[in-house]
Amino acid sequence: MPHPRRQPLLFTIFVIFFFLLHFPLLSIANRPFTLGGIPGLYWYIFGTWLLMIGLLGILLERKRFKR
Amino acid sequence: MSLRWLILGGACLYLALLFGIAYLGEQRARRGRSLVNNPYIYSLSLAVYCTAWTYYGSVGQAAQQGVQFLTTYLGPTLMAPLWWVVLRKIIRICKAQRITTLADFISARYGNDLALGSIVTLVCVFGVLPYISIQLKAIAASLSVVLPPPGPKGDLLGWADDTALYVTVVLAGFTILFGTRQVDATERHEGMVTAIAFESLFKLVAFMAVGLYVTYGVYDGFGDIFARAGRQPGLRVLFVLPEAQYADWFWLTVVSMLAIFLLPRQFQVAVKENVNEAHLSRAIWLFPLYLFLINLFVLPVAFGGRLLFAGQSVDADTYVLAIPQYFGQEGLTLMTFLGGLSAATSMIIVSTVALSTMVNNNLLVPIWLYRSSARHRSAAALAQQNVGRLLLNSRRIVIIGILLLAYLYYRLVSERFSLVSIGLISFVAVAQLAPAVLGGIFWRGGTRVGTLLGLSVGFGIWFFTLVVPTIVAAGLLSPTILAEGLGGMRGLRPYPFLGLAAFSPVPQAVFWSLLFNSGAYFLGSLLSRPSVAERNQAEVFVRIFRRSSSRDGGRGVGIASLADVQALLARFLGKERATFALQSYRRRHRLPDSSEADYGTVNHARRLLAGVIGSASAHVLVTSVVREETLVLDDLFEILNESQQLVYANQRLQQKSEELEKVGRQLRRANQALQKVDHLKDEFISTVTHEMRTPITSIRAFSEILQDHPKLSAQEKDHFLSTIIKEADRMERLITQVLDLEKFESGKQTLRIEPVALDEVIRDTLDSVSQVIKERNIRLRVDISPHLPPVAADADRLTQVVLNLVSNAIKFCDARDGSIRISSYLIDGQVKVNVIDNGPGVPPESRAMIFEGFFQAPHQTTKKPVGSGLGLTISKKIVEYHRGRLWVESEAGQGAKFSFTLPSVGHHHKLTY
Amino acid sequence: MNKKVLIVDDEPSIVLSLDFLMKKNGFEVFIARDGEEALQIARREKPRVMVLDVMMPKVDGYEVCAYLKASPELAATRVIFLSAKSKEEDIRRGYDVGADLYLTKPFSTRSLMKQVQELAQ
Repeated sequence: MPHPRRQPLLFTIFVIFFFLLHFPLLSIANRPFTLGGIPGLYWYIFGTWLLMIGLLGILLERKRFKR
Repeated sequence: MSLRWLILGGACLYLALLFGIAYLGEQRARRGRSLVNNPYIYSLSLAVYCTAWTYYGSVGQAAQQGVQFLTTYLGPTLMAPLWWVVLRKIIRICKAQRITTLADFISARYGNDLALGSIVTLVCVFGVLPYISIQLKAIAASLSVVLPPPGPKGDLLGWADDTALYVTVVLAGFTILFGTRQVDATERHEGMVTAIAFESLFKLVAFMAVGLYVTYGVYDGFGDIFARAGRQPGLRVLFVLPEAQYADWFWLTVVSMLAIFLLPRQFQVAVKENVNEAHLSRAIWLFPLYLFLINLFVLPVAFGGRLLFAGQSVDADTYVLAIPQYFGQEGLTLMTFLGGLSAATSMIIVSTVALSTMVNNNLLVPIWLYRSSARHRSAAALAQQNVGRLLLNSRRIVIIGILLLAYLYYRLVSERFSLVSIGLISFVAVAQLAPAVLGGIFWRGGTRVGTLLGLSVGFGIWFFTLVVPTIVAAGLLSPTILAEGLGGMRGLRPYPFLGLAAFSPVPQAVFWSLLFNSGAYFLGSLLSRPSVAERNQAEVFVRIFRRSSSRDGGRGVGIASLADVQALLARFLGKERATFALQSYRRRHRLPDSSEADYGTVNHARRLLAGVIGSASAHVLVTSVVREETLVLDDLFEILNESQQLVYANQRLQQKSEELEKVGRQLRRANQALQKVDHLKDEFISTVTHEMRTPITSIRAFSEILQDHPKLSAQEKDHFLSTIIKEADRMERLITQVLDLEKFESGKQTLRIEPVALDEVIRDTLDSVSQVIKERNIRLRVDISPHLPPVAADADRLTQVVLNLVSNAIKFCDARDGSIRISSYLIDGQVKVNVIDNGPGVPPESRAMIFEGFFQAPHQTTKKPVGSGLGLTISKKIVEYHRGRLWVESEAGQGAKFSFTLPSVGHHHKLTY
Repeated sequence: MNKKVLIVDDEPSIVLSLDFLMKKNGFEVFIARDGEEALQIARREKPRVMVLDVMMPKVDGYEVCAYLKASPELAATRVIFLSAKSKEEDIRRGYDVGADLYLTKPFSTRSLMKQVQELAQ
């Protein structure tokens, strides 16, 4: 049996990242600046993306959430 | 010349390898050592999402528009966490109903409607065929890039076209060989899936290799490329997303979120080929990771290409190939070319299999059935009549047909369009299925009419806004429609449709089509009445998780944690004995070291415990540590499985046993909490389990009889089977009641309070039992005061109370000359309801007891005089939850009068539930 | 030895299954729905074996068994309790009143029949 909190947590991740990756929050990073030569928007999108994958991975692979 | 042979030889070798891998996958599956049965292969097979569009087109799009191409991958990433809700439900439904395609799915949901199935099939075929054809185009185009022209330019293209034809033929062979092995379309295609997973891995490695080469071989890392690009104003603008594109960004993400589970090929790999729901859990993060990795180098390659080929006419769609070729990296060029080939072929193979099943099952078979005018023959009966061969062959012909059409489309039309545009048009087409699918699994109210309306409107808008312009571009339609609108009405131009110019053409098509589609779906559903078949299917689809769950796993499969079992045993046997008992059992049966306890171990523990606390209590306790299965009925399932006739009973029992498990768990929880407070509750639990033993006893006895006496007469068999079913029902009722009661007792019950007309509730209830009343010749008198104010109540719960009281009256009224009187009137601001029968009445000493469920005095051994079960207990709880009162007045031999009062709405200002 | 068996239970479905099994094994079957009826039939038919539920209306199974074992002409009747009451004290009480066997529900029809056959010898 999956953990009962799994579903609401997954849904929360969806909502948070949907907002992070759309207007208006997206516009915060959508400015012409670079970091280490790489445009800020690219950092932001790929970073958020990776963060989301990481959170999903941690949530779904953690032992107590599998049971 | 050598490069030419390298490329052609490489392509041939690659395709041969693909056949080999698929063959290996099939062989392993046949020997029961499936390669596909793991979450990694599953996640990789989902990456069939990444086609030549991703492989070549993303770079092209990034080179022109910057980050916008990412919406196609961010959409599925955002959708991934929701898979746990959406996709898991779809998978469960498809497994339970043996559904193999989206068209089946939608038609099954809305009452197995043929028309719907064929419309969905047409949507998918029209939507996806162009998409397949651009994969062929990508293969031909990539060939013409990597091979130096052998002669005049025209020759080369002709030659590449021919090559595309050869590839088409090879793919048709592959698809037929590995996509149509079994007549039963629910059979998984393990060979195909293995090959697809390999292709996904290959295209990822190839793309990352070229990405790494461009980023670190040609340039000096990410920072270097972007820094150089930043010095050129033409490229610097791509560093940000123009503000006007925020809306496009949003709608493109939305359409990708839908496409990831609605594209026929995604449905095929994610749902149909799914071996185990649990694989979904890992795919939810692995698949987004795949998308992340394959996109990581798109921007560097795009900018690298534009910097490198500034001023030259190199198509950005081909940068991936052109850059390593420019630097003479033959090996890398070959690998990149093969990666593109793998991206294109995997998409073609899976899409073709999915479409061919759809066309066959939803267009050809119905037509064939109709023409052979065998209306009464079901598809199952057909399959038995050796039409299997015929079906297989027709599926194969359909595969060839689809691929041929795709090739023709490529030669005639799609040469003009880019990878991305055609792909997006497909996405929007399949997104039209979203209201029907999502509404179908979450909303019981969705109807066939609503779906037909929604699909037609959505598909119509899709066709008008996205397809008409391509027809015009192909020169088949006058361009006036683009400028002047349909019939000269400027509002009816494909773009801007209805004057909305805030988006680009594709997002605006997404917006309008989904808006009208879902609007029509909901309105149509609300305004039409579903048929019985639709209602049944709606119930099954929406409530699939409450009905059943797949029972996989058997002997040797872990069903509980060993530590849990051991802890449980230790509580009763002591730690040393428990450890020793389990270890010796496992040694005796040569079980491998594991933290899991399998069926046998758990059963052994149950037997050990039964010696201490009796088998029933042992069962309840053991069930509490078992994860998926229950044990008591397990032997039954096996017996029942043996006979086809018993399948029905089996399903019912399975359901019961899962509910029983739940009850067991809840009982235990209730027990733990209550022990501290009230010792009496112990008695309750033992009584409930006691009550359950009778049906279980009968079920077991009859099942054993059925197994031990195979030569029973049909009549006897039927009698015994119906007894099993009846007893299973009895258990179900008991379980429902216990769960209800538990909810009330724990205060978890919530009520939907609204003003309720009590007279309607009473009349509805009487309607539902009128048949019984008539059959038993019971005289019924109903006196309801005409000006009864409404009461604040939960209508369903109130119906339950009235039904309980009326059923009791029917059960206990005089057998020969029964009479029941029901009256209702307002008194002291309360609405009062009386249900009076002329039965034996309730003796004073039992009056309190009948409301206490099957509580019994300690050590009681004779049965209570009046009704068992929990009906009155629950009714009393419900009424008290409504701040009312329920009681009985009776004199022995004078019948019983059950009454309850509820506050009327005017007197019930503060209801705080 | 006669092959009469008296089934005492108020659950129709259980009676139905026992009736079938006993007849299949060559017993002559009598059925009682409560303790009172059981004693009436027992006095009249003097069954070899009695399959007895504990929880019944009017007179419970323990009393029936105690009565049988106390009356000289019925004391030879073999009594098998078939009861949902499975606590140790219930089982001990069954044997205390003179039962030959105490089985708890749910039971295996196979072992029940084996035991009945043995007791009927």
